[in-house]
Amino acid sequence: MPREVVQEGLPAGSERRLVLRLLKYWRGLQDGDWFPPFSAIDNVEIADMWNDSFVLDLAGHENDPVFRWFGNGIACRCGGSLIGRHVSEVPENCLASVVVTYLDDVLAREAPMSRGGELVLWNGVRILYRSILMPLSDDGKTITGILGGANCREVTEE
Amino acid sequence: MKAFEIYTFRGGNWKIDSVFDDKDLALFEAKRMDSSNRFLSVRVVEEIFDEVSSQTSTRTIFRGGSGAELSYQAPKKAAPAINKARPRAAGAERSPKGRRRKPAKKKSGFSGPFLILLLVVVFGFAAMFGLQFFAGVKLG
Repeated sequence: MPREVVQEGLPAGSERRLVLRLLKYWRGLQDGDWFPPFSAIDNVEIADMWNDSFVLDLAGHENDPVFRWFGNGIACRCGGSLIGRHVSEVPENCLASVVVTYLDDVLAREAPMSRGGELVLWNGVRILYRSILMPLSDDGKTITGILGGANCREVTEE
Repeated sequence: MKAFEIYTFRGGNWKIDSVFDDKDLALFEAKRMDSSNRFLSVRVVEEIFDEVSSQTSTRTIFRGGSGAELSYQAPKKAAPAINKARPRAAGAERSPKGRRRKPAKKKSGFSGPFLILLLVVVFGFAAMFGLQFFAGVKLG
């Protein structure tokens, strides 16, 4: 099981794992069974997770969503930011490339999904990652966006 | 391929909450949700998809709560059985564009009174024609 990067500066006893903290934040934005809207996301409120997060826009781009936000923590594992770029333009063998592989499953199940695994990046670095995708909606029912998060740690050969 | 689905019991139905590919993570989150007392009941279902046979098998590996969902009574109608509909397995085709949730079916109370009104009108016309006919026969 991939281990999460230890988050420094968190209060004692709080959840360390990024995906669970982000999921908890997403649940807090929900109104009953309704998906949270884009406008509810407050990057100041999740400042400790914002750099490991990204936002996909599906409205008008159902077949090829667009990144509206792409944190630096993920960008450094992708060779650069993907803000304004489509999912189809994600480079191979980068952290974002594995995260978007289960986007269709999230849209089909209409529920948050988390996946992890191992990946060898384009630059030869081997990482263990954990990611999560969570639906967003402008009307509460139709999925028009995704709030995602991912972090990783390098696997060093001994 | 394995998936661990967290379900919560809400409004008389089991509804999917989240899906993990890691069992320990799913169980941790389910137990945390269960202890929050926010949900009547929480369960984790392990879903195994056999890529060779394309068949999916499921089993419940965690059931939280006090079993209160078993005695749940919906406000107006009888409590439905636990929803046995399974979400599509990983790799299934995307749902149609729009990905709208199915709207709740509404029962219309309009057809009953309308039928009664129609019957009254039909019988009324029949009575009118009948009276005219018999009146004509009598006088003639």
